[in-house]
Amino acid sequence: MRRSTPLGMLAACLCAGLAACSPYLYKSEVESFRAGVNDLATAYQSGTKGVAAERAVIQQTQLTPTRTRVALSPGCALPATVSAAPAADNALPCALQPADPAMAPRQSAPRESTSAAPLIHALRDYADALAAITNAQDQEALEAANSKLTGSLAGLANTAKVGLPNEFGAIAGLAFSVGVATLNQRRFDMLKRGVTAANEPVAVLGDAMGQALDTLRKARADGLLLAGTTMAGQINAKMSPDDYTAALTTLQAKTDAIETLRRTNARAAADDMVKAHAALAQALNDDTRQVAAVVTALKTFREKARAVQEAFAS
Amino acid sequence: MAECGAFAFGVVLGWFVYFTNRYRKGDVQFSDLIALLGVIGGAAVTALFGGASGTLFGYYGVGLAVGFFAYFLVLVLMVARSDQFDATWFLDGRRKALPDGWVIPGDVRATTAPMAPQRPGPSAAAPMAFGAPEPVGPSTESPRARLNAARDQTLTALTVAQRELLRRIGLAPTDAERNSLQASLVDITDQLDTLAQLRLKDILESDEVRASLKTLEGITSDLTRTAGEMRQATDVLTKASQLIDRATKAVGVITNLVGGVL
Repeated sequence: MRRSTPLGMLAACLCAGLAACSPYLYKSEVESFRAGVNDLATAYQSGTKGVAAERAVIQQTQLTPTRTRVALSPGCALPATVSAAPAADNALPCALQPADPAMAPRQSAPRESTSAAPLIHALRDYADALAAITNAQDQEALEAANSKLTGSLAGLANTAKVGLPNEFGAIAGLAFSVGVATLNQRRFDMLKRGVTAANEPVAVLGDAMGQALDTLRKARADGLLLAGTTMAGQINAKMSPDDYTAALTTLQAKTDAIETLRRTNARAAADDMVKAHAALAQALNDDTRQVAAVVTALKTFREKARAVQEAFAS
Repeated sequence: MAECGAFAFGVVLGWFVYFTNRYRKGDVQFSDLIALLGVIGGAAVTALFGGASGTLFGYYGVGLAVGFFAYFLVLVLMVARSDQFDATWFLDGRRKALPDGWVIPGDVRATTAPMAPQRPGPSAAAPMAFGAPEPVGPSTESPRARLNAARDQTLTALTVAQRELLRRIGLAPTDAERNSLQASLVDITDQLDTLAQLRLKDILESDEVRASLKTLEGITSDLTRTAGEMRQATDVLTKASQLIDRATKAVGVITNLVGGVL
Protein backbone atom coordinates (compact mmCIF):
# COMPACT_ATOMS: atom_id res chain seq x y z
CA MET A 1 0.00 0.00 0.00
CA ARG A 2 1.28 3.43 -0.98
CA ARG A 3 1.41 6.19 1.61
CA SER A 4 0.17 9.74 1.08
CA THR A 5 2.87 12.26 0.29
CA PRO A 6 2.90 15.79 1.76
CA LEU A 7 1.84 17.22 -1.63
CA GLY A 8 -1.09 14.83 -1.85
CA MET A 9 -2.12 15.67 1.70
CA LEU A 10 -1.86 19.38 0.94
CA ALA A 11 -4.07 18.94 -2.12
CA ALA A 12 -6.58 16.96 -0.07
CA CYS A 13 -6.56 19.67 2.63
CA LEU A 14 -7.09 22.37 0.01
CA CYS A 15 -10.01 20.38 -1.41
CA ALA A 16 -11.54 20.16 2.06
CA GLY A 17 -10.86 23.87 2.62
CA LEU A 18 -12.58 24.79 -0.62
CA ALA A 19 -15.57 22.69 0.31
CA ALA A 20 -15.76 24.33 3.73
CA CYS A 21 -15.44 27.84 2.35
CA SER A 22 -17.98 27.21 -0.39
CA PRO A 23 -20.87 29.66 0.04
CA TYR A 24 -24.12 28.41 1.54
CA LEU A 25 -26.61 28.46 -1.33
CA TYR A 26 -29.86 28.33 0.67
CA LYS A 27 -31.12 25.55 -1.59
CA SER A 28 -33.72 24.16 0.78
CA GLU A 29 -34.83 27.64 1.83
CA VAL A 30 -35.27 28.80 -1.76
CA GLU A 31 -37.10 25.58 -2.54
CA SER A 32 -39.37 26.17 0.44
CA PHE A 33 -40.05 29.73 -0.71
CA ARG A 34 -40.91 28.45 -4.17
CA ALA A 35 -43.26 25.84 -2.73
CA GLY A 36 -45.06 28.49 -0.68
CA VAL A 37 -45.46 30.81 -3.69
CA ASN A 38 -46.76 27.84 -5.69
CA ASP A 39 -49.29 27.11 -2.95
CA LEU A 40 -50.60 30.68 -3.14
CA ALA A 41 -50.67 30.56 -6.94
CA THR A 42 -52.59 27.29 -6.82
CA ALA A 43 -54.96 28.81 -4.28
CA TYR A 44 -55.62 31.70 -6.64
CA GLN A 45 -56.30 29.36 -9.55
CA SER A 46 -58.61 27.08 -7.61
CA GLY A 47 -60.33 30.09 -6.03
CA THR A 48 -61.06 31.56 -9.46
CA LYS A 49 -62.39 28.23 -10.68
CA GLY A 50 -64.42 27.89 -7.49
CA VAL A 51 -66.13 31.26 -8.01
CA ALA A 52 -67.15 30.24 -11.53
CA ALA A 53 -68.35 26.85 -10.31
CA GLU A 54 -70.45 28.43 -7.57
CA ARG A 55 -72.08 30.72 -10.11
CA ALA A 56 -73.09 27.67 -12.11
CA VAL A 57 -74.46 26.00 -8.98
CA ILE A 58 -76.50 29.09 -8.09
CA GLN A 59 -77.93 29.21 -11.59
CA GLN A 60 -78.83 25.52 -11.56
CA THR A 61 -80.45 25.84 -8.16
CA GLN A 62 -82.49 28.81 -9.36
CA LEU A 63 -83.51 27.32 -12.71
CA THR A 64 -84.26 23.73 -11.76
CA PRO A 65 -87.49 24.23 -9.69
CA THR A 66 -89.11 26.33 -12.44
CA ARG A 67 -87.75 24.22 -15.34
CA THR A 68 -86.83 27.47 -17.07
CA ARG A 69 -85.87 27.34 -20.75
CA VAL A 70 -82.18 28.06 -21.20
CA ALA A 71 -79.89 29.30 -23.98
CA LEU A 72 -76.20 29.84 -24.61
CA SER A 73 -74.93 33.38 -24.20
CA PRO A 74 -73.71 35.29 -27.32
CA GLY A 75 -70.16 35.04 -25.98
CA CYS A 76 -70.16 31.34 -26.88
CA ALA A 77 -69.69 32.30 -30.56
CA LEU A 78 -65.95 32.83 -30.60
CA PRO A 79 -64.38 35.35 -33.01
CA ALA A 80 -62.44 33.96 -35.97
CA THR A 81 -59.14 35.03 -34.46
CA VAL A 82 -58.38 36.51 -31.09
CA SER A 83 -56.63 39.54 -32.59
CA ALA A 84 -59.58 40.27 -34.90
CA ALA A 85 -62.02 40.53 -32.01
CA PRO A 86 -62.61 43.84 -30.28
CA ALA A 87 -61.46 43.82 -26.68
CA ALA A 88 -65.00 44.14 -25.33
CA ASP A 89 -66.17 41.26 -27.51
CA ASN A 90 -63.34 39.13 -26.23
CA ALA A 91 -64.43 39.76 -22.68
CA LEU A 92 -67.91 38.31 -23.28
CA PRO A 93 -68.12 35.07 -21.36
CA CYS A 94 -69.63 31.89 -22.73
CA ALA A 95 -72.29 30.78 -20.28
CA LEU A 96 -75.67 29.19 -19.87
CA GLN A 97 -78.47 31.67 -19.26
CA PRO A 98 -82.29 31.76 -19.17
CA ALA A 99 -83.78 32.08 -22.66
CA ASP A 100 -85.93 34.98 -21.45
CA PRO A 101 -83.55 37.99 -21.25
CA ALA A 102 -85.62 39.44 -18.42
CA MET A 103 -84.62 36.50 -16.24
CA ALA A 104 -80.95 36.69 -17.14
CA PRO A 105 -78.74 37.46 -14.16
CA ARG A 106 -77.25 40.92 -14.03
CA GLN A 107 -73.77 41.06 -15.50
CA SER A 108 -71.36 41.43 -12.65
CA ALA A 109 -67.97 43.06 -12.85
CA PRO A 110 -65.76 41.32 -15.41
CA ARG A 111 -63.44 39.34 -13.19
CA GLU A 112 -61.01 38.82 -16.07
CA SER A 113 -60.18 42.52 -16.23
CA THR A 114 -59.10 42.52 -12.60
CA SER A 115 -57.17 39.31 -12.80
CA ALA A 116 -54.12 39.14 -10.61
CA ALA A 117 -52.79 36.29 -12.73
CA PRO A 118 -49.93 38.32 -14.31
CA LEU A 119 -48.74 39.32 -10.87
CA ILE A 120 -48.94 35.79 -9.52
CA HIS A 121 -47.18 34.40 -12.60
CA ALA A 122 -44.42 36.95 -12.13
CA LEU A 123 -43.90 35.90 -8.51
CA ARG A 124 -43.95 32.22 -9.42
CA ASP A 125 -41.50 32.73 -12.29
CA TYR A 126 -39.23 34.61 -9.94
CA ALA A 127 -39.33 31.81 -7.36
CA ASP A 128 -38.62 29.28 -10.13
CA ALA A 129 -35.66 31.34 -11.32
CA LEU A 130 -34.26 31.46 -7.78
CA ALA A 131 -34.59 27.70 -7.54
CA ALA A 132 -32.88 27.30 -10.92
CA ILE A 133 -29.92 29.31 -9.63
CA THR A 134 -29.52 27.04 -6.62
CA ASN A 135 -30.48 23.90 -8.54
CA ALA A 136 -29.54 20.96 -6.35
CA GLN A 137 -29.59 18.41 -9.16
CA ASP A 138 -26.90 20.21 -11.17
CA GLN A 139 -24.79 20.46 -8.07
CA GLU A 140 -25.23 16.81 -7.12
CA ALA A 141 -24.37 15.61 -10.66
CA LEU A 142 -21.25 17.73 -10.60
CA GLU A 143 -20.14 16.47 -7.21
CA ALA A 144 -20.80 12.85 -8.21
CA ALA A 145 -18.74 13.28 -11.38
CA ASN A 146 -15.97 14.94 -9.38
CA SER A 147 -15.91 12.12 -6.85
CA LYS A 148 -15.84 9.47 -9.55
CA LEU A 149 -13.05 11.21 -11.44
CA THR A 150 -10.93 11.71 -8.33
CA GLY A 151 -11.33 8.04 -7.48
CA SER A 152 -10.32 6.81 -10.92
CA LEU A 153 -7.33 9.18 -11.08
CA ALA A 154 -6.14 8.03 -7.68
CA GLY A 155 -6.63 4.42 -8.76
CA LEU A 156 -4.59 5.04 -11.90
CA ALA A 157 -1.80 6.66 -9.93
CA ASN A 158 -1.73 3.65 -7.64
CA THR A 159 -1.71 0.98 -10.36
CA ALA A 160 0.00 2.66 -13.29
CA LYS A 161 3.48 1.70 -14.21
CA VAL A 162 4.11 4.70 -16.45
CA GLY A 163 5.52 6.99 -13.78
CA LEU A 164 2.40 8.95 -12.80
CA PRO A 165 3.00 10.83 -9.57
CA ASN A 166 1.10 9.57 -6.53
CA GLU A 167 -0.51 13.00 -6.03
CA PHE A 168 -1.96 13.11 -9.54
CA GLY A 169 -5.45 12.16 -8.42
CA ALA A 170 -5.52 14.60 -5.53
CA ILE A 171 -4.22 17.48 -7.66
CA ALA A 172 -6.72 16.78 -10.46
CA GLY A 173 -9.46 16.65 -7.83
CA LEU A 174 -8.27 19.98 -6.45
CA ALA A 175 -8.43 21.56 -9.90
CA PHE A 176 -11.94 20.26 -10.32
CA SER A 177 -12.95 21.52 -6.88
CA VAL A 178 -11.71 24.99 -7.77
CA GLY A 179 -14.01 24.92 -10.80
CA VAL A 180 -16.98 23.83 -8.67
CA ALA A 181 -16.24 26.42 -5.99
CA THR A 182 -16.04 29.17 -8.61
CA LEU A 183 -19.40 28.12 -9.98
CA ASN A 184 -20.93 28.02 -6.51
CA GLN A 185 -19.58 31.46 -5.71
CA ARG A 186 -21.17 32.74 -8.91
CA ARG A 187 -24.45 31.10 -7.94
CA PHE A 188 -24.31 32.74 -4.53
CA ASP A 189 -23.44 36.17 -5.94
CA MET A 190 -26.29 36.01 -8.42
CA LEU A 191 -28.70 34.81 -5.75
CA LYS A 192 -27.66 37.59 -3.40
CA ARG A 193 -27.92 40.26 -6.09
CA GLY A 194 -31.27 38.98 -7.37
CA VAL A 195 -32.96 38.55 -3.99
CA THR A 196 -31.71 41.92 -2.73
CA ALA A 197 -32.92 43.74 -5.85
CA ALA A 198 -36.26 41.92 -5.76
CA ASN A 199 -36.96 42.67 -2.11
CA GLU A 200 -38.91 45.87 -2.74
CA PRO A 201 -40.90 44.65 -5.78
CA VAL A 202 -41.75 41.46 -3.91
CA ALA A 203 -43.06 43.55 -1.01
CA VAL A 204 -45.31 45.61 -3.29
CA LEU A 205 -46.50 42.63 -5.33
CA GLY A 206 -46.94 40.52 -2.20
CA ASP A 207 -49.27 43.13 -0.77
CA ALA A 208 -51.23 43.30 -4.04
CA MET A 209 -51.39 39.51 -4.18
CA GLY A 210 -52.73 39.46 -0.63
CA GLN A 211 -55.45 41.93 -1.63
CA ALA A 212 -56.30 39.85 -4.71
CA LEU A 213 -56.52 36.64 -2.70
CA ASP A 214 -58.62 38.38 -0.08
CA THR A 215 -61.03 39.70 -2.73
CA LEU A 216 -61.23 36.24 -4.21
CA ARG A 217 -61.85 34.75 -0.77
CA LYS A 218 -64.81 37.09 -0.29
CA ALA A 219 -66.15 36.38 -3.81
CA ARG A 220 -65.86 32.66 -3.23
CA ALA A 221 -67.55 32.87 0.17
CA ASP A 222 -70.33 35.00 -1.33
CA GLY A 223 -70.84 32.47 -4.12
CA LEU A 224 -71.16 29.70 -1.55
CA LEU A 225 -73.46 31.90 0.50
CA LEU A 226 -75.86 32.59 -2.38
CA ALA A 227 -75.84 28.96 -3.49
CA GLY A 228 -76.47 27.93 0.11
CA THR A 229 -79.34 30.33 0.76
CA THR A 230 -80.97 29.46 -2.58
CA MET A 231 -80.68 25.78 -1.77
CA ALA A 232 -81.89 26.27 1.81
CA GLY A 233 -84.99 28.03 0.46
CA GLN A 234 -85.91 24.92 -1.48
CA ILE A 235 -85.69 22.54 1.44
CA ASN A 236 -89.15 21.86 2.76
CA ALA A 237 -91.34 19.29 4.46
CA LYS A 238 -92.58 17.86 1.17
CA MET A 239 -89.18 16.38 0.37
CA SER A 240 -88.54 12.69 0.86
CA PRO A 241 -86.31 11.86 3.86
CA ASP A 242 -83.47 10.85 1.53
CA ASP A 243 -83.70 14.04 -0.53
CA TYR A 244 -83.90 16.07 2.65
CA THR A 245 -80.80 14.38 4.08
CA ALA A 246 -78.91 14.80 0.81
CA ALA A 247 -79.83 18.48 0.64
CA LEU A 248 -78.75 19.01 4.22
CA THR A 249 -75.42 17.29 3.53
CA THR A 250 -74.79 19.51 0.50
CA LEU A 251 -75.73 22.57 2.49
CA GLN A 252 -73.50 21.53 5.38
CA ALA A 253 -70.58 21.19 2.95
CA LYS A 254 -71.16 24.76 1.82
CA THR A 255 -71.27 26.17 5.33
CA ASP A 256 -68.11 24.20 6.16
CA ALA A 257 -66.39 25.71 3.13
CA ILE A 258 -67.51 29.21 4.12
CA GLU A 259 -66.29 28.62 7.65
CA THR A 260 -62.91 27.46 6.36
CA LEU A 261 -62.66 30.57 4.21
CA ARG A 262 -63.70 32.72 7.16
CA ARG A 263 -60.81 31.35 9.19
CA THR A 264 -58.33 31.81 6.36
CA ASN A 265 -56.22 34.92 6.25
CA ALA A 266 -54.88 35.16 2.73
CA ARG A 267 -53.41 38.59 3.30
CA ALA A 268 -51.43 37.33 6.27
CA ALA A 269 -50.04 34.53 4.11
CA ALA A 270 -48.95 37.06 1.49
CA ASP A 271 -47.45 39.26 4.22
CA ASP A 272 -45.52 36.27 5.50
CA MET A 273 -44.22 35.62 2.00
CA VAL A 274 -42.84 39.16 1.97
CA LYS A 275 -41.32 38.66 5.43
CA ALA A 276 -39.72 35.35 4.43
CA HIS A 277 -38.23 36.95 1.34
CA ALA A 278 -36.93 39.86 3.40
CA ALA A 279 -35.35 37.41 5.86
CA LEU A 280 -33.69 35.58 2.96
CA ALA A 281 -32.35 38.86 1.58
CA GLN A 282 -31.01 39.80 4.99
CA ALA A 283 -29.35 36.43 5.48
CA LEU A 284 -27.74 36.59 2.04
CA ASN A 285 -26.30 39.98 2.91
CA ASP A 286 -25.21 38.90 6.37
CA ASP A 287 -21.70 37.47 6.50
CA THR A 288 -22.48 35.47 9.63
CA ARG A 289 -24.98 33.42 7.56
CA GLN A 290 -27.58 33.06 10.26
CA VAL A 291 -30.27 30.95 8.64
CA ALA A 292 -32.45 30.48 11.71
CA ALA A 293 -34.54 33.60 11.01
CA VAL A 294 -35.04 32.53 7.39
CA VAL A 295 -36.10 29.04 8.42
CA THR A 296 -38.60 30.37 10.96
CA ALA A 297 -40.07 32.92 8.54
CA LEU A 298 -40.34 30.30 5.81
CA LYS A 299 -42.00 27.81 8.13
CA THR A 300 -44.70 30.35 9.05
CA PHE A 301 -45.16 31.31 5.42
CA ARG A 302 -45.44 27.70 4.26
CA GLU A 303 -48.01 26.84 6.91
CA LYS A 304 -50.22 29.80 6.06
CA ALA A 305 -49.81 29.35 2.31
CA ARG A 306 -50.80 25.69 2.64
CA ALA A 307 -53.85 26.66 4.71
CA VAL A 308 -54.91 29.20 2.08
CA GLN A 309 -54.43 26.65 -0.67
CA GLU A 310 -56.55 24.08 1.16
CA ALA A 311 -59.25 26.60 2.00
CA PHE A 312 -59.54 27.77 -1.59
CA ALA A 313 -59.63 24.21 -2.88
CA SER A 314 -62.46 23.23 -0.56
CA MET B 1 -59.87 96.71 42.91
CA ALA B 2 -62.98 96.47 40.78
CA GLU B 3 -61.10 98.19 37.95
CA CYS B 4 -58.29 95.64 38.17
CA GLY B 5 -60.80 92.84 38.10
CA ALA B 6 -62.56 94.25 35.04
CA PHE B 7 -59.18 94.78 33.35
CA ALA B 8 -58.05 91.22 34.13
CA PHE B 9 -61.35 89.84 32.98
CA GLY B 10 -60.93 91.73 29.72
CA VAL B 11 -57.37 90.40 29.31
CA VAL B 12 -58.49 86.82 29.73
CA LEU B 13 -61.37 87.27 27.33
CA GLY B 14 -59.21 89.11 24.79
CA TRP B 15 -56.62 86.33 24.90
CA PHE B 16 -59.36 83.79 24.42
CA VAL B 17 -60.90 85.73 21.51
CA TYR B 18 -57.60 85.61 19.65
CA PHE B 19 -57.20 81.93 20.52
CA THR B 20 -60.69 81.13 19.24
CA ASN B 21 -60.14 83.08 16.06
CA ARG B 22 -56.81 81.39 15.47
CA TYR B 23 -58.26 77.91 15.65
CA ARG B 24 -61.49 78.80 13.95
CA LYS B 25 -62.88 76.36 11.36
CA GLY B 26 -64.71 77.63 8.34
CA ASP B 27 -64.80 80.92 6.52
CA VAL B 28 -64.81 84.38 8.12
CA GLN B 29 -68.26 85.94 8.00
CA PHE B 30 -69.86 89.18 9.25
CA SER B 31 -72.14 87.15 11.44
CA ASP B 32 -69.04 86.10 13.39
CA LEU B 33 -68.46 89.73 14.28
CA ILE B 34 -71.98 90.14 15.56
CA ALA B 35 -71.66 86.98 17.61
CA LEU B 36 -68.35 88.20 18.99
CA LEU B 37 -69.81 91.58 19.94
CA GLY B 38 -72.62 89.77 21.67
CA VAL B 39 -70.15 87.82 23.76
CA ILE B 40 -67.68 90.53 24.64
CA GLY B 41 -70.02 93.52 24.85
CA GLY B 42 -73.43 92.07 25.36
CA ALA B 43 -75.87 92.43 28.21
CA ALA B 44 -74.34 89.52 30.10
CA VAL B 45 -71.01 91.34 30.41
CA THR B 46 -72.34 94.80 31.19
CA ALA B 47 -74.62 93.28 33.79
CA LEU B 48 -71.52 92.04 35.62
CA PHE B 49 -70.30 95.56 36.23
CA GLY B 50 -73.45 96.77 37.99
CA GLY B 51 -73.89 100.50 38.65
CA ALA B 52 -70.33 101.46 37.73
CA SER B 53 -70.67 99.85 34.38
CA GLY B 54 -69.29 102.85 32.43
CA THR B 55 -65.86 102.99 34.14
CA LEU B 56 -65.53 99.27 34.61
CA PHE B 57 -66.49 98.61 31.03
CA GLY B 58 -63.69 100.98 30.00
CA TYR B 59 -61.16 98.94 32.01
CA TYR B 60 -62.68 95.80 30.61
CA GLY B 61 -62.34 97.09 27.05
CA VAL B 62 -58.70 98.04 27.61
CA GLY B 63 -58.04 94.62 29.13
CA LEU B 64 -59.72 92.98 26.16
CA ALA B 65 -57.43 94.80 23.76
CA VAL B 66 -54.37 94.01 25.87
CA GLY B 67 -55.27 90.31 26.03
CA PHE B 68 -55.98 90.15 22.31
CA PHE B 69 -52.76 91.82 21.23
CA ALA B 70 -50.71 90.12 23.94
CA TYR B 71 -51.51 86.83 22.27
CA PHE B 72 -50.35 88.26 18.96
CA LEU B 73 -47.16 89.65 20.55
CA VAL B 74 -46.37 86.27 22.08
CA LEU B 75 -46.74 84.74 18.63
CA VAL B 76 -44.41 87.37 17.18
CA LEU B 77 -41.81 86.66 19.87
CA MET B 78 -42.02 82.89 19.28
CA VAL B 79 -41.72 83.31 15.52
CA ALA B 80 -38.73 85.61 16.02
CA ARG B 81 -37.02 83.03 18.23
CA SER B 82 -37.74 80.05 15.95
CA ASP B 83 -35.46 79.26 13.02
CA GLN B 84 -38.29 77.40 11.29
CA PHE B 85 -40.52 80.45 10.83
CA ASP B 86 -40.12 84.02 9.70
CA ALA B 87 -42.40 87.03 9.36
CA THR B 88 -43.92 85.67 6.14
CA TRP B 89 -45.82 83.14 8.23
CA PHE B 90 -48.00 86.07 9.31
CA LEU B 91 -48.77 86.83 5.68
CA ASP B 92 -49.62 83.49 4.10
CA GLY B 93 -48.65 80.80 6.58
CA ARG B 94 -45.47 79.70 4.81
CA ARG B 95 -42.78 77.98 6.87
CA LYS B 96 -39.72 75.83 6.38
CA ALA B 97 -39.90 72.14 5.63
CA LEU B 98 -39.80 69.79 8.59
CA PRO B 99 -36.16 68.93 9.42
CA ASP B 100 -35.08 65.29 9.70
CA GLY B 101 -35.98 63.78 13.03
CA TRP B 102 -38.88 66.21 13.64
CA VAL B 103 -42.46 65.11 13.57
CA ILE B 104 -45.82 66.77 14.01
CA PRO B 105 -48.21 64.55 15.94
CA GLY B 106 -51.47 63.95 14.16
CA ASP B 107 -53.47 65.31 17.09
CA VAL B 108 -51.95 68.81 16.92
CA ARG B 109 -54.65 71.47 16.58
CA ALA B 110 -55.08 73.13 13.22
CA THR B 111 -54.18 76.82 13.05
CA THR B 112 -54.66 79.52 10.48
CA ALA B 113 -52.01 82.10 9.68
CA PRO B 114 -52.69 85.10 11.90
CA MET B 115 -53.07 87.55 9.06
CA ALA B 116 -54.29 85.28 6.31
CA PRO B 117 -57.98 84.83 5.59
CA GLN B 118 -57.47 81.12 5.00
CA ARG B 119 -54.68 78.73 5.72
CA PRO B 120 -53.17 77.59 2.40
CA GLY B 121 -53.68 73.88 1.75
CA PRO B 122 -50.61 71.69 1.89
CA SER B 123 -49.06 70.82 -1.42
CA ALA B 124 -49.27 67.12 -2.24
CA ALA B 125 -45.62 67.04 -3.26
CA ALA B 126 -44.25 69.12 -0.41
CA PRO B 127 -43.46 67.46 2.89
CA MET B 128 -45.49 68.47 5.91
CA ALA B 129 -43.93 71.70 7.13
CA PHE B 130 -42.74 72.17 10.66
CA GLY B 131 -45.59 73.27 12.83
CA ALA B 132 -48.10 72.56 10.08
CA PRO B 133 -51.29 71.29 11.63
CA GLU B 134 -53.89 68.88 10.40
CA PRO B 135 -55.99 70.25 7.56
CA VAL B 136 -58.74 72.68 8.50
CA GLY B 137 -62.32 72.24 7.38
CA PRO B 138 -62.87 69.99 4.40
CA SER B 139 -60.42 67.09 4.04
CA THR B 140 -57.41 67.87 1.88
CA GLU B 141 -56.90 64.18 0.96
CA SER B 142 -56.74 63.45 -2.75
CA PRO B 143 -60.07 62.78 -4.45
CA ARG B 144 -58.90 59.21 -5.11
CA ALA B 145 -58.13 58.64 -1.43
CA ARG B 146 -61.54 60.03 -0.47
CA LEU B 147 -63.16 57.80 -3.07
CA ASN B 148 -61.30 54.76 -1.75
CA ALA B 149 -62.31 55.58 1.81
CA ALA B 150 -65.93 55.97 0.74
CA ARG B 151 -65.75 52.70 -1.17
CA ASP B 152 -64.32 50.88 1.83
CA GLN B 153 -67.10 52.29 4.01
CA THR B 154 -69.68 51.13 1.47
CA LEU B 155 -68.13 47.67 1.38
CA THR B 156 -68.41 47.46 5.16
CA ALA B 157 -71.99 48.72 5.07
CA LEU B 158 -72.93 46.20 2.39
CA THR B 159 -71.44 43.37 4.43
CA VAL B 160 -73.54 44.49 7.40
CA ALA B 161 -76.58 44.55 5.12
CA GLN B 162 -75.74 41.05 3.89
CA ARG B 163 -75.73 39.76 7.45
CA GLU B 164 -78.98 41.49 8.27
CA LEU B 165 -80.61 40.02 5.17
CA LEU B 166 -79.38 36.55 6.09
CA ARG B 167 -80.92 36.97 9.51
CA ARG B 168 -84.23 38.09 8.01
CA ILE B 169 -84.23 35.32 5.41
CA GLY B 170 -83.98 32.85 8.27
CA LEU B 171 -86.98 34.45 9.97
CA ALA B 172 -89.12 35.03 6.85
CA PRO B 173 -92.56 33.53 7.49
CA THR B 174 -93.58 33.06 3.84
CA ASP B 175 -91.90 31.88 0.65
CA ALA B 176 -92.78 35.14 -1.08
CA GLU B 177 -91.03 37.20 1.56
CA ARG B 178 -88.12 34.85 1.59
CA ASN B 179 -87.75 35.07 -2.20
CA SER B 180 -87.91 38.83 -2.08
CA LEU B 181 -85.20 38.95 0.60
CA GLN B 182 -83.15 36.43 -1.37
CA ALA B 183 -83.35 38.70 -4.42
CA SER B 184 -82.11 41.59 -2.29
CA LEU B 185 -79.29 39.44 -1.02
CA VAL B 186 -78.26 38.58 -4.57
CA ASP B 187 -78.39 42.24 -5.52
CA ILE B 188 -76.35 43.40 -2.54
CA THR B 189 -73.82 40.61 -2.99
CA ASP B 190 -73.47 41.57 -6.63
CA GLN B 191 -72.86 45.21 -5.70
CA LEU B 192 -70.38 44.12 -3.10
CA ASP B 193 -68.53 42.02 -5.65
CA THR B 194 -68.49 44.87 -8.16
CA LEU B 195 -67.10 47.30 -5.60
CA ALA B 196 -64.51 44.80 -4.42
CA GLN B 197 -63.44 44.23 -8.02
CA LEU B 198 -63.10 47.96 -8.60
CA ARG B 199 -61.05 48.30 -5.46
CA LEU B 200 -58.76 45.48 -6.57
CA LYS B 201 -58.50 46.95 -10.04
CA ASP B 202 -57.22 50.20 -8.55
CA ILE B 203 -54.55 48.28 -6.66
CA LEU B 204 -53.49 46.07 -9.55
CA GLU B 205 -53.33 48.94 -12.01
CA SER B 206 -51.49 51.32 -9.70
CA ASP B 207 -48.19 52.73 -10.92
CA GLU B 208 -46.41 51.15 -7.98
CA VAL B 209 -47.61 47.63 -8.82
CA ARG B 210 -46.87 48.06 -12.52
CA ALA B 211 -43.37 49.33 -11.85
CA SER B 212 -42.71 46.49 -9.38
CA LEU B 213 -44.00 43.93 -11.86
CA LYS B 214 -41.65 45.26 -14.53
CA THR B 215 -38.69 45.26 -12.15
CA LEU B 216 -39.38 41.73 -10.95
CA GLU B 217 -39.73 40.45 -14.51
CA GLY B 218 -36.35 42.00 -15.33
CA ILE B 219 -34.73 40.36 -12.30
CA THR B 220 -36.34 37.02 -13.17
CA SER B 221 -35.04 37.28 -16.70
CA ASP B 222 -31.48 37.91 -15.44
CA LEU B 223 -31.71 35.03 -12.97
CA THR B 224 -33.04 32.64 -15.61
CA ARG B 225 -30.31 33.59 -18.08
CA THR B 226 -27.58 33.15 -15.48
CA ALA B 227 -29.07 29.84 -14.36
CA GLY B 228 -28.95 28.66 -17.98
CA GLU B 229 -25.31 29.68 -18.31
CA MET B 230 -24.46 27.87 -15.09
CA ARG B 231 -26.26 24.77 -16.23
CA GLN B 232 -24.15 24.81 -19.39
CA ALA B 233 -20.96 25.30 -17.38
CA THR B 234 -21.98 22.46 -15.08
CA ASP B 235 -22.69 20.22 -18.06
CA VAL B 236 -19.30 21.02 -19.56
CA LEU B 237 -17.54 20.23 -16.28
CA THR B 238 -19.53 17.03 -15.82
CA LYS B 239 -18.81 15.86 -19.38
CA ALA B 240 -15.13 16.78 -19.05
CA SER B 241 -14.89 14.76 -15.87
CA GLN B 242 -16.62 11.82 -17.54
CA LEU B 243 -14.23 11.97 -20.50
CA ILE B 244 -11.18 12.19 -18.27
CA ASP B 245 -12.57 9.33 -16.21
CA ARG B 246 -12.92 7.13 -19.30
CA ALA B 247 -9.50 8.14 -20.59
CA THR B 248 -7.99 7.40 -17.19
CA LYS B 249 -9.55 3.95 -17.11
CA ALA B 250 -8.31 3.27 -20.66
CA VAL B 251 -4.80 4.38 -19.68
CA GLY B 252 -4.99 2.07 -16.67
CA VAL B 253 -6.03 -0.91 -18.80
CA ILE B 254 -3.35 -0.23 -21.43
CA THR B 255 -0.70 0.27 -18.78
CA ASN B 256 -1.61 -3.02 -17.15
CA LEU B 257 -1.56 -4.79 -20.53
CA VAL B 258 1.81 -3.33 -21.47
CA GLY B 259 3.16 -4.22 -18.03
CA GLY B 260 1.90 -7.80 -18.45
CA VAL B 261 3.54 -8.24 -21.89
CA LEU B 262 6.82 -6.83 -20.69
